Amino acid sequence: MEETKRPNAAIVAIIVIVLVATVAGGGYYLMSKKDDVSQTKETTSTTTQATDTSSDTTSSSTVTYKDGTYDATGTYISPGGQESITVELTLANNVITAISATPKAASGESSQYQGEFVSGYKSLVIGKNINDVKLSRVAGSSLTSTGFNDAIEQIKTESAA
Amino acid sequence: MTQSNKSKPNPQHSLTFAALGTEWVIESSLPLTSIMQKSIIDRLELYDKTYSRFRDDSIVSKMAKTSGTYTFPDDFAPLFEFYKTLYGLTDSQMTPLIGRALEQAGYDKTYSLRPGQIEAIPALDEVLKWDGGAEIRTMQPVVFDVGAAGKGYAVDIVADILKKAGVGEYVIDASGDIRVRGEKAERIGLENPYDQTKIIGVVDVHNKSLCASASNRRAWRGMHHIMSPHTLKPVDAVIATWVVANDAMTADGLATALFFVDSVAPLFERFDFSYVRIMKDGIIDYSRNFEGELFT
Repeated sequence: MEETKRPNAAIVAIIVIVLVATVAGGGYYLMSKKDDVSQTKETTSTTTQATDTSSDTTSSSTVTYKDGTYDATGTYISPGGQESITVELTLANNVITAISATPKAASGESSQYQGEFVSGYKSLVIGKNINDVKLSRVAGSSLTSTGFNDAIEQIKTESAA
Repeated sequence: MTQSNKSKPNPQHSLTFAALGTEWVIESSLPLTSIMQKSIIDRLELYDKTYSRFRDDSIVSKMAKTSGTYTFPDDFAPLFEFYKTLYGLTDSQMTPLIGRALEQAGYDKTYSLRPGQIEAIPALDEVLKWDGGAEIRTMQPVVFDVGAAGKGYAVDIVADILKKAGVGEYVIDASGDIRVRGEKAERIGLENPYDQTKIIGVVDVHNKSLCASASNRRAWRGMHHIMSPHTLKPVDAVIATWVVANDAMTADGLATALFFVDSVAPLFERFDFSYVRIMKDGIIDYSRNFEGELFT
């Protein structure tokens, strides 16, 4: 396993992840090329090892980025029209130390579309006990009628027989 | 469903009754007079007599036996219009014609719950003509099941009765189809469909409606009540949905529609709502405008 990540591959990977998520959400994404990545903030690193290019010798195609924060902005077409999303990376020692994706919705509608893929997926856990949470009521599927319940009981009786 | 740990500092009037095959609760800050109660019960009885496929004297039951021209009450047009819209937005998967498949799957008038051979469901325009009014013409017998949005619509109709009677603050809970109006917001638990003692989150509902849909209760012998007309099988990609919208018919219909779509974008384009849904693989998919908390 390489000790240092190659930032150009990682940036492309992040953009691809956003691209895939965007496509899944029904829009498509014009991928911004590596050379479009603009450097918005540059901090001159006081720890000199950060800019030591000699550490990146694992491949002749390695690119060294100065420490700092980088933007990549992509445009895509959503059902609401052309929209853009910005991915912001922070690099230190050629390693991504922070990343965020921020949709820039031009319209209220498209912020809803972006909500679909920028955030909104969690894994199901058991949840909390009803008695432990302050609630007005609980909403689930409708309670069944006695007729239906009796029929279910009958199935159980048959299976037990 | 359990209503434990309720937080109600003010005295509330509460009316509980059975209608449309399930339990209803109406809570209000003003008491409902016996005249109001009777008009609600009578109105729901009329609704049941129109739309229920479980009783022989309903218009829907007559349509299931014989083709012809049928005149519905005035409540028909908005409901059918809504169904037609969702039919289009779900690639014809959400259809009022699903009733025949449900019957043949066992969810029939006698609750036989014995799955049999399930026939193909025709396209809407193959079997009926509708000009937007109260009348519908069928070219062959069709079995309507309007459960996907019908109960939510009934909640809105009851809300209208309350409003006309001067009751503006209420919660109507038709067992998972809930409409809230008034100053006080409701904090509603999202029932874990796998474990009814648990909730997977809470949603705050203030002057809106919340509808829940899940495949856990109306289930029998490997079947459940949310069936796809394309596969003629119960939907398995989605386990449970909750939708918050302004009115209960919209919330109810969308809660069902969410079982049939991957991307929610086309529904979002057309309707104003927020949602949470549990997918088969355990992932919770929710909209960014969801107002509540998920316990994950």
